[in-house]
Amino acid sequence: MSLPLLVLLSGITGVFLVMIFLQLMVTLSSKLAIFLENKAQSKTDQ
Amino acid sequence: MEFLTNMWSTMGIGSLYWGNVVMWLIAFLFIYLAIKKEYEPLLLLPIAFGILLVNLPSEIMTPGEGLLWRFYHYGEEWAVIPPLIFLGIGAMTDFGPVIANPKTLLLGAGAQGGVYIAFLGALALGFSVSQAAVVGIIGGADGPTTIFLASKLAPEMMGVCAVAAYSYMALVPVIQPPVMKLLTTEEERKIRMKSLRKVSKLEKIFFPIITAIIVILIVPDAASLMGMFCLGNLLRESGVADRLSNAAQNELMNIVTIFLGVSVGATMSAEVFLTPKVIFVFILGIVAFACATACGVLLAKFMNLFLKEKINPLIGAAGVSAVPMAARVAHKVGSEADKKNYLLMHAMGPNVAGVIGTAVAAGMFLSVLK
Repeated sequence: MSLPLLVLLSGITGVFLVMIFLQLMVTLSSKLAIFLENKAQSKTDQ
Repeated sequence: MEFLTNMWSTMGIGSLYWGNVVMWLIAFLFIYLAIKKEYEPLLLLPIAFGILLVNLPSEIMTPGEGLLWRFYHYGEEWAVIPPLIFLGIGAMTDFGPVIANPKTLLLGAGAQGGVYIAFLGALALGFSVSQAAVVGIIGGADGPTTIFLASKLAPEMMGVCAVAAYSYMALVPVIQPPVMKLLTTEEERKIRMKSLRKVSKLEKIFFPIITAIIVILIVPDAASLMGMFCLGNLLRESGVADRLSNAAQNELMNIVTIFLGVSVGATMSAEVFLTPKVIFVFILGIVAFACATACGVLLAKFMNLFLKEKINPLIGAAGVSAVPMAARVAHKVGSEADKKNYLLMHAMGPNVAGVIGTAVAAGMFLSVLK
């Protein structure tokens, strides 16, 4: 594979890969954060 | 007579040539644009003065001796200043809109399409692969990232590419709207999006930590930019380091901006700048920018094929990382179609995602080409 083609394909793949993983992890971390905050809230309420 | 000859030989006037005078005119134009038109004045003014200084006869850019050479060498060639700017940008950025609507991260990736189109264009015009990568990254509309990549891959392109990137960032309100209108229908521009949910403090604290881990694991070459960016954001969101966050946003940012601007300007001597390739860089820069806008809009339209709750395709254009200008433009174009359509916060999602996307694109170029 020629160098320019390698740069092109790896670049596009890399950018989308990062963003897809990031999207997934941000969604999961939001769920975790909301769970932890609700748990802390319910402890405070008790 | 001998006295006059000696005096003449100590002056710099004799070593001037027409190219220096042309560069003075360019510096005066930039000073005018910065002061009168307020086009990115914080950067354009130091850049313009750097151009003026380096095109006056002096040793100010002499390697190992000149003051501006030291700023350039230790700040940019060592790639110290761009990550420090990213620290400040991180401290200024609110990632709430991205966290509330993580789909917008994909739009930040989509807009990087312009980077790769310009990369191919630069190759076609005879640039080397490394130079083409630096020209392409202008399409990300991110000055510090452009400088960072140029310092690593093609230092000779740094000045012109930085000026092109900052010039086009200032011209976002001129370049983007025609492309956005061309690619969307009136009905699409009228799409209203649901208000974003409130994002908690803990979510905002998790975000920079997770982003740093994911990005650096996948693209280690983006570590210095993204590491500093995420640190700046963590300082902001932690709520316990306000002094550091404020310093990163204000004093540090202002200081490094002066060094960055003046030393980037100082790379633009007449011998380097007045070449036909510079014209190609400016043409490719605007192509990159327009294509990045188009790619963002088209990706948003593509995503709408699969989404229940449609997104307004205009926010895809904000995937270029000119923050917050590109988001404001998306909002303005949307409100022209429907006065009550408030897109600004929705567009901030892809806008800040674009900062990450451009840094990742630069990291990918580095990982293959360094």
